[in-house]
Amino acid sequence: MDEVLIFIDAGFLSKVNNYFGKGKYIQFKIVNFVKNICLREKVRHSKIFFYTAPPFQSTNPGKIEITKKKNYDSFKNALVRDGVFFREGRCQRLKVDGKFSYHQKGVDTLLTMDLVKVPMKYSSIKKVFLIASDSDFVPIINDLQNESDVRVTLCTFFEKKRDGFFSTSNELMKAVSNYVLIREEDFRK
Amino acid sequence: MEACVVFTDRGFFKLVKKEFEIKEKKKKKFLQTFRNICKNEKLNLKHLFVYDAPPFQSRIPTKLENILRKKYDNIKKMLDKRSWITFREGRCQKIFNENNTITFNQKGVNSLIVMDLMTILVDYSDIKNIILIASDSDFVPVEDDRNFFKLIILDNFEMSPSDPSGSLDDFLLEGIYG
Repeated sequence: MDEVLIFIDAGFLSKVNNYFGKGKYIQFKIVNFVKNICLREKVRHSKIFFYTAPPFQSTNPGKIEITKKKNYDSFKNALVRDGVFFREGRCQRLKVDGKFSYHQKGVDTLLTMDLVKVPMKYSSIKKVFLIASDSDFVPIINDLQNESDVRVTLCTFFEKKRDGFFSTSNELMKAVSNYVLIREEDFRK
Repeated sequence: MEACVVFTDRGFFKLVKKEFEIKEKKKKKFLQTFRNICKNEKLNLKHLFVYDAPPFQSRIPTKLENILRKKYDNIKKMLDKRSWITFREGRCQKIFNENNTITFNQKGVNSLIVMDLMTILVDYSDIKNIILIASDSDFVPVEDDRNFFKLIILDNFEMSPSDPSGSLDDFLLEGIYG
């Protein structure tokens, strides 16, 4: 069985999970989820890279912020214990027209940086599984596939109906060598 | 003078340039501005990387889309002619919002910058100074990883926290200066 590296955009995976859970998050273990997909695709995961950002913390964090951070930290510790490479950007809070909005910063950058390093750091690996839906990754996918013999499989989810809640960019679909649709049972097994 | 390589997101650079032009009531020359920035830092501009995305084009482009595309192609042609400039293109995404408004986003531009920053030493192993003209803290992880940036602060540029596209992100500065 081929060995693959798994790169997970946590924001996207969480959205898919919430969709399958019909508005609630399905409790699952990242490692088991990855194993389910790998089993289906007849590959073996060598390493899992998980990209996310910690929840926003004010200078003097409130009760909710403290709880969210505590939950995040125990989630992070559990993944690290399972051998997952946990990579963190940061959460940016913007106040526009009196309303707060929160944005992840640096997360896509970290993922792109790590993908750039794949041919150098993991020369024996010829296959990468990317769990994402964002066409921002198109340039690095093209570069990997044109400049090295690494092939990228996209693990994604989209609805075929028009105006569906999920969409995956055509550009991204065209860039990867093939794609795998995430299934509900991948979370539940 | 030591050599340097400059990376610029043309979208952000256009905003800054416009701001200075309004303040000083004087047109700024695009390429001369980069030379001036390097000169101020006592560096010699060896290579310039410009990142942009072509304007959105519908399947049957409108008159305005045609004009914008023509303008963009002229700039691209002008930059492509110069061997000391590399012009890299992402793409423009059109999004229909829930409230029936349309927004346009650049896609892949930051990724291209990150990729080139990560591999720059392959082509320019002698380079010690890299100037990144950007305002986005998305680039902080690269700085942490590579640790060779020299950032130009556009100190006459007015901060506007309500407009994220026009403010210099504090975290970017923190990333550079620690």
